[in-house]
Amino acid sequence: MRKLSEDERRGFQESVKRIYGVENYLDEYVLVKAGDGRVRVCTAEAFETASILRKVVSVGVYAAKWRDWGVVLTIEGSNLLKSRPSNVFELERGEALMWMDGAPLRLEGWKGEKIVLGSFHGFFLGAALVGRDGIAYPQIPKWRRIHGE
Amino acid sequence: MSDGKLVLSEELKSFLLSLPDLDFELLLSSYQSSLPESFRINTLKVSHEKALELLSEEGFSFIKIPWLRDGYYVKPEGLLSHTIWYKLGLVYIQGAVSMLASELLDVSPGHKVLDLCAAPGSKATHIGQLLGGRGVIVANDVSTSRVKALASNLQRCGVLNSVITQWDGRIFGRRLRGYFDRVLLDAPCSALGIISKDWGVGRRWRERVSLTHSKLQKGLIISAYDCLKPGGYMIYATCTLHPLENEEVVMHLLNSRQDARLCRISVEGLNYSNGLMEWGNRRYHGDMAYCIRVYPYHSGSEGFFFAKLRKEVGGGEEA
Repeated sequence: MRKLSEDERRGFQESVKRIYGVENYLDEYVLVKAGDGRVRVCTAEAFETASILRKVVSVGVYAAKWRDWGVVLTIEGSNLLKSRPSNVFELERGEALMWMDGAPLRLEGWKGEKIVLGSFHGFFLGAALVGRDGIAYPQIPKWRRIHGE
Repeated sequence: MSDGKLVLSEELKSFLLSLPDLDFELLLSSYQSSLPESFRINTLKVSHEKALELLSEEGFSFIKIPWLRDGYYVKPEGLLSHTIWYKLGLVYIQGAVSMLASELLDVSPGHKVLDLCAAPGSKATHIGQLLGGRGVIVANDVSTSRVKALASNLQRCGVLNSVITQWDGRIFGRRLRGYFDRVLLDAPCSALGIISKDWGVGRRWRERVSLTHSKLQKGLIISAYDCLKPGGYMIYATCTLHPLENEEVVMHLLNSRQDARLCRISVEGLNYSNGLMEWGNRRYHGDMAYCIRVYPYHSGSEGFFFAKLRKEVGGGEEA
């Protein structure tokens, strides 16, 4: 468990700005590298407490997967965005249920974004990767799918 | 609840009949009823009004649980966990009496709180909610598989100020002496308060089960208490009815730490009995009546024991 360096933090925030159009993402929190490109977010006090403990499994919540090609926000990561992202799709109830089941779906009004966010009743449902054919693949972990596990 | 007929071991019947304040027939009847489904609104993510509006749209109806701030009974049962709102972490399904543990702890934003046996995370996520993003909740559990469930629930509820550790709870007190403002010990127990969930518990129970738990619980309560700052509070809770796992464990702490004081628990809107001052040939501390025993027929839900303890400021330690 280690903090993102200043350079890494800047790079991460720039990627978020490029993909989601939101600046200074998670500026008031500590960002932690958790392996396999995972970025966790926690409060400064939680990080400080974790630093004095042994056998720490995790701290805060998993906010994003950060790859060379982009940042995939989790449900929690997306709901921590402070302003409205540029690549968000308002979903109907049926679409939201499909999204939360991790099922592929075609998005009306898609303009070629590779990563999009789903939203339902004002709550973000995390990010989906979109293929060249405009089909979105929501990145919902199995344990969190409506009909998962 | 299981199919067929409820069978209690002879040892269990004999023990239950030995409890001075327990109505055996009412208890048997409640063991044969299924527990009502209840949930808590996760105010870290949504307001009460919005959550109830969203769930109403899905066809749910609710009744506020009178002794809780954020808890509701829900109908129809068995469907809430399949909703988007549950998956997003807006609501958390939890027993109506279980939710009391975190509320009794009197957590305020900014506190450092330890939940020593935290998995699967019902109470830790509740504490996270009561902290409102300030302070820290350290959620510990010894079991690898149960820590996974704990991590999933803290994630789903969005508790940014959480730390998960995986230690044997009995060593925590040596490592983090006097570090926490609040400590919750919801100890592993024989689960006699929730037999309606698993009738097998009642069939299999022998006194040695409670004796084994009691030994572990005594180690845990000392460790939990030692983590407290002077002036701090802890809740000791179990979902069982046996004095060996309840009053006896609290008594062990009072005998071992001279600065430990029992605090009176009072809960409006809930029936309960007081902690036992004697059982069989055992005599307990006079303040044991400050503890509460919630039998399943009191709440229409789970059975629980709660003790609230304070570490005196300027007191000595080992008695």
